Amino acid sequence: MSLGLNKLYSIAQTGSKYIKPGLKTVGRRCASSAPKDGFIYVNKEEPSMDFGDITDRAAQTLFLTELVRGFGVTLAHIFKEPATINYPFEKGPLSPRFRGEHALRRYPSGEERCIACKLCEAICPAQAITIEAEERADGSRRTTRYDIDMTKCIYCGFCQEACPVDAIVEGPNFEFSTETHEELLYNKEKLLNNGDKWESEIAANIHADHLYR
Amino acid sequence: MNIQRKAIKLFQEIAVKYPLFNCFRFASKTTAEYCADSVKKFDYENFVCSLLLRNSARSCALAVRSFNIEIAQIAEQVSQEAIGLMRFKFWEDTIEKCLTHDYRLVPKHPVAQELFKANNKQKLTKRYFKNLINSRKNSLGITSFKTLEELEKYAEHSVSNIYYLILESSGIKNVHADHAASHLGKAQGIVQQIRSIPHARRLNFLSIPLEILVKNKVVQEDVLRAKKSEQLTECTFQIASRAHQHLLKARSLANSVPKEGRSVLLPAVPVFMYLDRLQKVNYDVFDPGLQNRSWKLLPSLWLTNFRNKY
Repeated sequence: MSLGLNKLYSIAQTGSKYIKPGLKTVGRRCASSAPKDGFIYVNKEEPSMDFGDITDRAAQTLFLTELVRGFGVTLAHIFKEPATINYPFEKGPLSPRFRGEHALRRYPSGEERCIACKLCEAICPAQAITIEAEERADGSRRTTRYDIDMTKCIYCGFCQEACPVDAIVEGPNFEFSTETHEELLYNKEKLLNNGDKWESEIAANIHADHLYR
Repeated sequence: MNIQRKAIKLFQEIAVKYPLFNCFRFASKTTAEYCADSVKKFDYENFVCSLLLRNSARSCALAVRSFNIEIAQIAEQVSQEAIGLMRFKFWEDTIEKCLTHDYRLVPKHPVAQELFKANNKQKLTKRYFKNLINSRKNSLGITSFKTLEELEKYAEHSVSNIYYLILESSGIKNVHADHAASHLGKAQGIVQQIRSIPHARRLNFLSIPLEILVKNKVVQEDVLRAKKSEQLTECTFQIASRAHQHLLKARSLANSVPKEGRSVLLPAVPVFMYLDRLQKVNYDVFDPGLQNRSWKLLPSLWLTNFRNKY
């Protein structure tokens, strides 16, 4: 009887989570020590060295119970949720604060947000951003050149924090590996395209509903 | 089917005629719509109150309110104080430019452009904008207020100045109106801080003054972990009663405030409603019912405005 219980307990230790919870209390009550002075001994108990117990253990090893227990573990894992995902088709969860590929946003009217204040260029610790600006015919100050060297960027998110008009953001995209270095030197056109492509996700991530301060 | 189509057509017509009540076109096309959208999203109660203002004052009120949203969010958005200071500096410079008469200087930010237009219609005082920015700037690094008076001062600087600006833009220069606005601003600011208590952990800012926490023997961690307790309700009660005093004072001045200025002070209604609901749940700020909008807000606002009170 005690042998049978012991075996069940060891299956419960290694095997399926479905039979674990019920058995755990049984196992603990029979197999491990009662709480002493409020402490519970959680380490593995020393095996008993009685002649009968030693014979039991030798029999277990010899009589292929290990094999059966191995099958038990395998069977239990069939019913478990897999720990992996089918990556390129299935994506893991992403925090709304995730800082991925950069994007330049536009206003809903289609006008670009960036007003060439150069705060992002100033704050960038890796000096990855280069901006040149001039006045347009209508008097508005806009960038003529907005380059980010993605190989210099350390993805700290300071540019996004420093931007007073929420123009430059680090979007949720992390799949932008390329074959050459040159492709990672982003210019303004590429950044604006990113913005158009990811706008709905970016807007959803900058969600808040009330002023609290 | 036919009726449905007719209804949709009617709504579309309304949407085209009154862009402010537009619920079908989410993309805002003009700077004014952008401001209205941002106020609607982040500051719904004040948005509804602004809708009841007269036409000229309304656009200015929305401009000032959206400016307030821009600077109020800075503290939440930045991780380092220096970055926050940079953004405040940007807004200081922008205000300087908006209050000139040269459109070319104004940065092409919808809020800045709306402020410029508002200033052209009715001269706005730079000092009020400065106060708004400075109050936010000074509270950038702190994680709590020391005393209730400090909280009150912050509320006055960060909210009352908005009312001064809106009163100014509606062309009202009256000492009593300013006096009432000052008290209303304090009440609203304090209520806003009470509302932020359940969000203290996310904001990394505990808005119950330390002095009151110490007096009632409340541990900060309990508030951050949203643990209900008798002492915490006592803290909330003390802050809420201060807000209530200011609200009563503001309302008692109602008769001396000129008639056209009273609609500016309409946000007293949502403030009162929140305090009332807080009292009904026995000053438990974590009550989930407090997070919802009350259905009574819109009718009571309209009625109050109709009766020319606040």
